[in-house]
Amino acid sequence: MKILLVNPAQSMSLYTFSEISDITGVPAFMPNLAIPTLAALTPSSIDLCCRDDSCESIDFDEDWDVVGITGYITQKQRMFEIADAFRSRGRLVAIGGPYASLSPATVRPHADILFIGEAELTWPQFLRDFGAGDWKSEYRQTEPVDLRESPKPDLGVLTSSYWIGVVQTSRGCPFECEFCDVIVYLGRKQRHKDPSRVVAEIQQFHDQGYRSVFLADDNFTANRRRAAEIMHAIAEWNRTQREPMTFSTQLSIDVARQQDTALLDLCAAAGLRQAFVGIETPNVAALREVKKRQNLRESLASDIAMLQRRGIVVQAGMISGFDADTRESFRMQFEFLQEAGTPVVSVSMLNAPEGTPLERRLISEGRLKATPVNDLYLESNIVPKQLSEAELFNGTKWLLNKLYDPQNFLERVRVLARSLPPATRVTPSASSAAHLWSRILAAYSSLGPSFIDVPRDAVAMFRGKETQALATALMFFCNAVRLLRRWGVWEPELCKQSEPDFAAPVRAKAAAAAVTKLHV
Amino acid sequence: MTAREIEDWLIAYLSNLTDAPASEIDIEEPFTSFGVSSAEAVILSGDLERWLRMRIDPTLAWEHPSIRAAAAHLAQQIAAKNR
Repeated sequence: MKILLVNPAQSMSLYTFSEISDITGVPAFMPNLAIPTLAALTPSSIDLCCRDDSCESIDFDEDWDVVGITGYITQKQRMFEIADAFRSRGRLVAIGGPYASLSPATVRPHADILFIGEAELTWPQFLRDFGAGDWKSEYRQTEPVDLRESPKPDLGVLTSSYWIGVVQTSRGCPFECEFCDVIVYLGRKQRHKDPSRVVAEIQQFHDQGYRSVFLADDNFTANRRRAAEIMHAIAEWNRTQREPMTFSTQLSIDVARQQDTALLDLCAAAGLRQAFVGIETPNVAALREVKKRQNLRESLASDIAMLQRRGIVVQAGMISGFDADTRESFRMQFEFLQEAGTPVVSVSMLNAPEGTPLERRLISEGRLKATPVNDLYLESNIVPKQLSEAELFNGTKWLLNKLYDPQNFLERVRVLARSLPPATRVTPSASSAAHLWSRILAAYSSLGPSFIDVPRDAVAMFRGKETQALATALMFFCNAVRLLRRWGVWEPELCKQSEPDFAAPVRAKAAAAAVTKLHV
Repeated sequence: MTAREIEDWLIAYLSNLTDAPASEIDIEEPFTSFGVSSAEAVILSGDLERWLRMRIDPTLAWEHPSIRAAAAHLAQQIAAKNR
């Protein structure tokens, strides 16, 4: 039996570093764990081949018994192109992963076999059924999988190099943010791997030369006790490495507790250096509206500072277009982020993914648009409540331009640098760091005159501080500027305006193909 | 350009970067002992490049990790170019 597993290319995004391969030197940011996990679940008697569409070409004419395709919502366009191309050549196509699980009706016309839910049990079942010539058109996992039963991903099937490695320690999140599809797909009861397994998976990436790993949890610190156990094991392991690993993850801001800083101290000691946090908005009414209760804090900016004082740099995920948002909200977002000192910021419009409580509410209120959304940053499937669609677009565009103005970016770097602890080790670990910084400097030279001095100014602010997070911030900034230009929404003159021009005509974005290559 | 002149330039540069008096900059000490980060080391090689008007590898501070070693290497390169 010959099986091909495919990870489709991502649409352009702030977080996939799609625009800066001249800096990273690799075509993709990190591997999709679905592929090596399915590979580990596939018996060695099966002839298995894996392709990452972002990194390598796919031969659509090769003969396969089954083509398996995974993907997130950000991969759907390319997912369908690949599926349709193989099916037109008579191949049997199976589609699974988060998007297929959340939007089965949309995916169904493109697949012969649909996998809904986690695949640790259904994939082996399908292989047995297929071997017996009696496979079904749908495999559905309804009960949450015990992560301790999930096999260690088989990294041997990855044929490309990536910027960072990726390890998942848990799935699910106990919170109930109205717009979140993770809890729809993976549930609110968080499941964990054993700490020793997590370390074994980190070791796999270390053995392959990776020195940075993303802990791909939905909310790493939701269960503080388990997070502490895992971080303790990682810290112990990292202490014995000649070249230690650094980590990034996703967590919620309620990790910051004045009376209990032990977990943050442990995270920092284990090597956690960057954390994506869904801050969403400083607008309390908006946070209440979408049930983001974990963000209802005395001061979000102080909480961010608590992480950054320990060397854990916060990457702030922000959302515009809540029902409680008004024309004032964009300026409030900007002022909040400048004060908080988070150089890495993403802003996207509120969207209601399929299956979420938000989608149900909007349907009942008659405010869900039928138009498919391909870009989650500047498109929304929601009719806003207190803003017109033009106001939401112009406000979000202004906010993105304002945040990625070089001087405003540097101001956030300055605030961050002031709060970071002194570096414990300033020794350049390898000459590869020299090449990385050279490529960063060259990339900024190519951005234009107002950008050339940004890295130098930022490095000067970081005197005596660890510069790894700064390198990431500069890479993110470069990627963001190039992306906004490709989308046709980079308008530096907006930075001079203290408020958005809400009456500006909504120009169609440049025909930014959501996917960069379309070889079918 | 002599090795001594390059040493003096590097002493002044590091003195300015670290806010330490030039007299306290030991040319035998590794750059890292002055707290020079990888980013600063690359910017340093770029600034040297502009001053000397010659191509300098960004890994200079890794391969020649003290003021004396870097200056000797660069002086040698300049001499070879002028030969």
